[in-house]
Amino acid sequence: MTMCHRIVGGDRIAYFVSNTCHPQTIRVVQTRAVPLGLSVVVGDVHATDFSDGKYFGVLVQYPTTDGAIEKYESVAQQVHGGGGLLVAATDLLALALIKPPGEWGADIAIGNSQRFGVPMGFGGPHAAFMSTREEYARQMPGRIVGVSKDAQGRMGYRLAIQTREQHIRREKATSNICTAQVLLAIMASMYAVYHGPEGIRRIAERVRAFARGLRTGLLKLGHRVGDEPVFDTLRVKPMGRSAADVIAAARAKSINLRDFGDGSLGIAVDETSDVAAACDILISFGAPDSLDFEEVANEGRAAIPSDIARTSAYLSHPVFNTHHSETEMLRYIYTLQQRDLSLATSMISLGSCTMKLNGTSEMVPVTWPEFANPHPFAPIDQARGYEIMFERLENWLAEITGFAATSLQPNAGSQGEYAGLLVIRAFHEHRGESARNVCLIPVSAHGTNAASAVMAGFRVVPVAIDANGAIDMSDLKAKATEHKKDLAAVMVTYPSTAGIFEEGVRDLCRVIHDCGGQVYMDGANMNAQVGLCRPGDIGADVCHLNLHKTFCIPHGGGGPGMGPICVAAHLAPFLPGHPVEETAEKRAIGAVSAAPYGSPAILPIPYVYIALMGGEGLRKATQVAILNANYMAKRLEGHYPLVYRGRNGRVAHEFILDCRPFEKSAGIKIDDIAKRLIDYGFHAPTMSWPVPGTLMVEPTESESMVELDRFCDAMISIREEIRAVEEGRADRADNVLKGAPHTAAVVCSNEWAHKYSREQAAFPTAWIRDHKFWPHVGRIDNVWGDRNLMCACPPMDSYQ
Amino acid sequence: MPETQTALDILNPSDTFAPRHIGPSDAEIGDMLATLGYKSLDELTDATLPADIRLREPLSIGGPRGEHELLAELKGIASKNRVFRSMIGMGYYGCITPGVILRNILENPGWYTQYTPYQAEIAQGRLEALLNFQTMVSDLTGLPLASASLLDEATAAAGR
Ligand SMILES: Cc1ncc(COP(=O)(O)O)c(C=O)c1O
Repeated sequence: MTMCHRIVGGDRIAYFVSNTCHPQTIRVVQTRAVPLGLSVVVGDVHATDFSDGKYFGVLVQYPTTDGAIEKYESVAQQVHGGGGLLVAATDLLALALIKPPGEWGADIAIGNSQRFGVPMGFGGPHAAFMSTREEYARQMPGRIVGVSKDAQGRMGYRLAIQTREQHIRREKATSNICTAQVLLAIMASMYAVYHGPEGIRRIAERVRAFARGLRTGLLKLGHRVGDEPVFDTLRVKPMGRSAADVIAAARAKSINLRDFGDGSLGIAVDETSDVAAACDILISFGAPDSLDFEEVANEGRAAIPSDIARTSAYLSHPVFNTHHSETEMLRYIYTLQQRDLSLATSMISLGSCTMKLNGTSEMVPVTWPEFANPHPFAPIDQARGYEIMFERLENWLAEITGFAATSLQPNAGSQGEYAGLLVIRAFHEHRGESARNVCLIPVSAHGTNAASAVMAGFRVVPVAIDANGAIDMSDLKAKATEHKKDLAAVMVTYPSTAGIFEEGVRDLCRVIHDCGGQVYMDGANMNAQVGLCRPGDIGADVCHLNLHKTFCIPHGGGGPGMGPICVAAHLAPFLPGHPVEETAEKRAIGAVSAAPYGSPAILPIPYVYIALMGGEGLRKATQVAILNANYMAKRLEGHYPLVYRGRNGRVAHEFILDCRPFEKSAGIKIDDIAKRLIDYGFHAPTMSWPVPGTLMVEPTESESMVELDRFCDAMISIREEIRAVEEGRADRADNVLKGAPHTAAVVCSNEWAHKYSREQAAFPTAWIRDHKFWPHVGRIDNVWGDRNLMCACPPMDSYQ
Repeated sequence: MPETQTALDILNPSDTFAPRHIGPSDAEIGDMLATLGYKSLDELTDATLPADIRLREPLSIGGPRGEHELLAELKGIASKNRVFRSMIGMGYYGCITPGVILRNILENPGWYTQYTPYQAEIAQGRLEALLNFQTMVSDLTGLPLASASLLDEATAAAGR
């Protein structure tokens, strides 16, 4: 919706959503529209005229939520005639058989890739997808991988057009997505690699055969079933018995059907369906026990009508047609894995990201069938185990943050911010102060803060920071007072994004409250607080927790994550609700995620972590996280200036090293240092955020002293390499930093024209001989890639 | 082990997790504190955090647990979920996770512990897998440009 709004522009504010979309989708779109001042009209697309240009966009579901495969060509023509855009929420498996949205006029397609091999997990995590026309590349939310080349001209991949997002322009931002669902996207793509086009088609055809068989059987029994054609879902009006009776009969056979609540019910066939299940369903509708489903299915067979059948090829790239034996698949997975540096290789000291241990015992329950397989809208009495876990986890998180209530719905930190701000907005509205719409945000805040504020309908007013990276209290007071009448909230990160425990944080909360505002605390740095201090005690009203930072959910290469919010008692009534499962009170802000509890399948991770550590263990972990950071800062401070320090010269759980002087002294940029670290087997710390030209290091409590020392030694050694350039002992243009990272191919090549040795390039210290990580490509050229945008698998001849 | 340890302490689980989760040993912690000029973690904490925000009571979360017994308890809780065959649809469908993907991706720290691929040179594996994802989405939807994942279908519809 917001993407269409951005593209179409103008003064249109109305968005049309087909009433055959999934209900949770409709609800989330409605929640999103309100603060942006957009209006959502839900209705029948076929009974609406779109040619008058009233709507900037139209959303349809294909196939619809009740299984119909509708044709939208004429809708598309009308929408386009009216200057709007058409969005199709769609299903990847169905698209193996039916005409894809791009061929009937959709401008954008979205959906969930879950059924490509990712367990339902009671709602998540799964990877949603979006595709569109090339001309909208820069409007598309989320990350895009593109193809470029490295310093030796070899093909290499990287995130394309990065300028669109991490560095989102504060007040202009309309997408706040940061952590996404990389691990799940990778699973889904591997499913396609494993099955290939024929395998996927076969699965789709099998699903369709079951659905058609069921349809035939139900008609024979005299029930009313929705029109053809169908793919996997049937909407049935039982005759001679109530929907409730059928649902109960199916449930007695351990099958959940969908209750539409109007006397009709839904049956959705999937890859796990089998003859026994199909028989059980038909028997629940009154078929005799002796039923022969194979006969019925045979009777139901029919080709897909040619006007909706897919004729175009898909998944034709060799990668989807090569790795079909398990041996090949295993090797493909490991070939790719070896190209990536993970925590299994060495520490990843990314500041603000808390790359701590993801303990095995925390991970094990994630794939237990009891957690992995429930459907998010299964009757809640089947999810008693989840309920117990949610309740304990909610209470623990509330205890850790010093708050009264928790919502587990938001699926990332960014979503927590957005949800928390909506809660604040609802609170002000409830008190008759809906004019409060100013959100104060320090200029050092993470990009998601401002973007979330804009999405929540707030006006962002930046607050200055002082020379020590702390919020400039006089500027804060001035801005808060200036906006006393319309102040909604402040967003603060604590410890600050500079990695410092600021002294005045209690005063800050007081100032904001005195001016009628609420305090939103960005909990990204909670790893420095747990057990030592609490947002609620400090004076905040709401905070989100990045469970994928402080509470051990692995980053998965860019997701999944979870960003639950904890709130003080006065905000509890406004926590997110959900249209399918009632999760909250009447004053709830509406749904912010598709599933009521976000991504439940990964909640055992924080649960196990917190339970295993206990209160004392958590506190010690925080203390060691702070110790590790201060120890490293101490070891490195003589080599790289520390940008900020707090009381007694201490830092919190992370610290910032200044690399700006080297540009002048040696022509060395921050990138050169980051890439050189790769030659030493390390991932670079957070680069150029929150201060350009710096590195922010967060070791976490999970790294041993030996590892911290190894990293410090690498940084010190790199400092000496820079010094060699400064002192003219190494060339300014051709030195180990500029040439980094060095691949095995480069180092072993018969040609070597550099002014430094191969050994200096690849084995700068002794311990690297023991544990060498070779980068797969040399330095990637980002600019070239953005000028020559290619965001799909390149043709085979480019692999060399 | 000092004799003052009671008989009951010795019966506590031997597989407590905190010493596994926390990287430095107590000896290393002592060395690092000494480098910084502190005698204890509490002293470092006092020096680092403003006094007026300190939490003075312990978190009421309970004591440390053993990994083995906690997982057994959680299994008991999990088994209170009754997993039916859900044919509800609405964007969520049963599916078969191929074993080779389950074990070697979802359950494999080589795939789940990395960060967002900002350092492209050491992220070519997942970048290729994500490019495959984009190609798959683009092919199946018939639209040329796909992104590398959004949070869920509903928020994707809201337009992120
Ligand atoms: C300070 C801060 N705020 C917010 C976020 C956003 O969190 P998420 O990526 O979970 O959306 C981050 C994540 O990197 C962060 O560092």
